[in-house]
Amino acid sequence: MDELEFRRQLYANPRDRSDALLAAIKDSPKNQKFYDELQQFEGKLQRAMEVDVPDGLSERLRLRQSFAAPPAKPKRPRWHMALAASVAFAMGIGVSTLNPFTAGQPSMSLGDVALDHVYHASPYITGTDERPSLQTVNAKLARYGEAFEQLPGQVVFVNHCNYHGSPAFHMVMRSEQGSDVNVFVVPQTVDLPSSSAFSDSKMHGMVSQLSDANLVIVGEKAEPLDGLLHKIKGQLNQSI
Amino acid sequence: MILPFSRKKKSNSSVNSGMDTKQLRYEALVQAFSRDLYRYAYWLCKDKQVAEDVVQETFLRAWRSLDSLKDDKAAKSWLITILRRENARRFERKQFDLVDIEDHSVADQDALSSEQEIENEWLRRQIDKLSPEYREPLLLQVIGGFSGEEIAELLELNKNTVMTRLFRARNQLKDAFEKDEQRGQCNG
Repeated sequence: MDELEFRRQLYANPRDRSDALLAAIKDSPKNQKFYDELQQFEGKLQRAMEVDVPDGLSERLRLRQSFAAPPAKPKRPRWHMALAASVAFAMGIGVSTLNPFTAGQPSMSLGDVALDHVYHASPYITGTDERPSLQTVNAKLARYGEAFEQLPGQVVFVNHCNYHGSPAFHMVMRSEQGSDVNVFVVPQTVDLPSSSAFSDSKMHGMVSQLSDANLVIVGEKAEPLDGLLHKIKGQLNQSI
Repeated sequence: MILPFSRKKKSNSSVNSGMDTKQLRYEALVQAFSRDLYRYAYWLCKDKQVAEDVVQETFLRAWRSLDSLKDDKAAKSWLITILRRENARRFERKQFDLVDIEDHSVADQDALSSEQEIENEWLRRQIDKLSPEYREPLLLQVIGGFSGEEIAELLELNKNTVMTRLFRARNQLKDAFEKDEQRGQCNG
């Protein structure tokens, strides 16, 4: 192997230990020197590239995943259920004592919380048009593991909200009929009973499952929601 | 409530152990690769917070599609692929937030105490100055420990191109380093 080829190979891969390369090192003191220098330089390069990793990174990765993991399905033996029930009960006491938002609402469903939230929030939202961009919407949505390819219509408001004590995504859209439709993306960790449709005297809504969250939409009774639900799901990018 | 309990016990236990295995695999991935992934992300975006966000998103996506990872030997390149895609998405989302090398130090200024640290910082700036097409294969080789073939596959290039870029990247760095050493000697 000539000197040029020797250098070219080592520069491309200083960890190369092929027979030809080792022979070339042995043959020439000049090659040996070049090899030693490059190994030293490689050490420096590696130290420079190995920037400090923030403390607690792996713990935060586990934590984030534990929130994203689907909640245990009722497929476990009875003692698991009993344990889960007592934990849920204890947490229920804790949450309802500590969190005024959920106090005194022990048997709410996913839809009830959505309706409640819409009634609470509507005085602040009615008439606004903040015209959030796709980027703004997706920046909020990312936390729930979703993203829109395109906005599914006219969006007038977007924010995180408190959904039964847990963060959720809340977006308000202005429908073609001119009424407001509330869209929630609720992480599956919010474990509330749900049905695919719900309503009260003024509003109605629908629930649909996403990969790690529930999509909940609420609109006025006169507002047809089927098509919009379909459109929203169509724009959500759930692929890897 | 009654229906699930009437299912066969055997299938229940396999579902549970399936979940547990998935959890164990995920934790092993975090343990084995999160540090290297963070470093790689850091060099791609040169911002600690953004790097951590990208790594968080990467692992979240990995968790969701962990079942599609069949061969654990391919885990690292699988994660790198997700990370690169995640980083590209970040650029699609906001193209304006480019970092200017001149105003930007890649290390904490107050950490520059020893000669070693000064040298590290100097080298980091040189790495920063490499064009991305040279820098990325080098990062994959040095931080990721990938072979020429693996880098070629990750970057969708042919192996000869990768080896040429690795050669040029090191050649540039070494040249700059030697010039700097000479200058240091003249000044000293």
